[in-house]
Amino acid sequence: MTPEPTVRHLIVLRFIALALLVIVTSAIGFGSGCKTQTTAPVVGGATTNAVRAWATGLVLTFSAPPTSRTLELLSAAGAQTRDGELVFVLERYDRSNAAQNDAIEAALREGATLTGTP
Amino acid sequence: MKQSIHFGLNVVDPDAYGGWNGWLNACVNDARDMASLCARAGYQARAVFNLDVTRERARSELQSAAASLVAHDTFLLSYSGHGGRPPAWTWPGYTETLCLADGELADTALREMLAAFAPGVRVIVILDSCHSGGMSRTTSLIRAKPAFVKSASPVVVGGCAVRAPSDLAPVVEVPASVLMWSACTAEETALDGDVNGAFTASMLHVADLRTMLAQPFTWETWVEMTQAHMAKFFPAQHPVANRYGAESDWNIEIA
Repeated sequence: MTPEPTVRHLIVLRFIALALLVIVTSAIGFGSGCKTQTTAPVVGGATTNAVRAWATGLVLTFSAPPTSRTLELLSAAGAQTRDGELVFVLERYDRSNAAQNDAIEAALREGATLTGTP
Repeated sequence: MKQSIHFGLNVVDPDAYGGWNGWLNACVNDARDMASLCARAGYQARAVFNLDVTRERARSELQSAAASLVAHDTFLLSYSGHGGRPPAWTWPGYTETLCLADGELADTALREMLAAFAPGVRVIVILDSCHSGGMSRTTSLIRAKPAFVKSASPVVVGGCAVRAPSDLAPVVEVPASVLMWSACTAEETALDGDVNGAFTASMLHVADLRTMLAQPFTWETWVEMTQAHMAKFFPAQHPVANRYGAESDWNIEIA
């Protein structure tokens, strides 16, 4: 049964509105895949006007299992193990925290590499 | 890739310095805290302390880094310890040195090591020592002791860095881009401290402020703000930032 003219008009208008919505959102990046973002000109490998967040914690990676003394210091500092015995994480690094500093120093003495938490 | 190595010496080998052990208070802390800072900024950071910081160790660390880094990589070296300023054959009649555990490393020798880094690599060298690697550090004024200066001249202690052939050779070209940031001028001494040396403490303080406030933080900003902080709290010490090697824009984010 053919819809009344007013209902037909509404259906057509609905499709037009939908088509316009798709066109507009595609133009501004939604629904068309990954958003793109213009970046500032790169100078020497880094953007010049982006404020990069610094890591708030430290990852201490050993090449060999740490000594028992270092393990004690890491425990006292609240370091969490990750990926077995060779990787420890200090989630919130605090430069004034003496226990953390002792653990970090002990780890560095044993040749550990420090990196930031993701 | 970003790598860093941090040397901190609270003591040196007395056998290499005529019985002088060069005791200092805060240099190991300086190296530790700089390593932590660099790690937070995206570096793979390691540190070497006290008697492990030999001339051969320093040479091998820099050689290893130079061999592994390529254009657009960054290497940072920080040193906290004594410096020497012995007489030299070359103008202006002195040479600056870093007092490593087993002897002095002359500024010309350091430059030769930096010359091994590839073009396009950024190298940052931060020196918290007297005379930008020159004379010894004094005890901190906050201890209310009179300043006691020890001179680490190889003429006195028997070292021979100043007589090395490299001191008489032309200055080598450095293909990488180098920012050398020193705690004080060639004529000044650098203060030690209870926790950190004055220069390192100032750098760390500025870094804490900028990162806490999530404000843009470039190398040039760091240099400028640290100099301002030093001028206010340690007016007798004037940090110096020298840029050499390939021309580069240092107004880039540290992290």
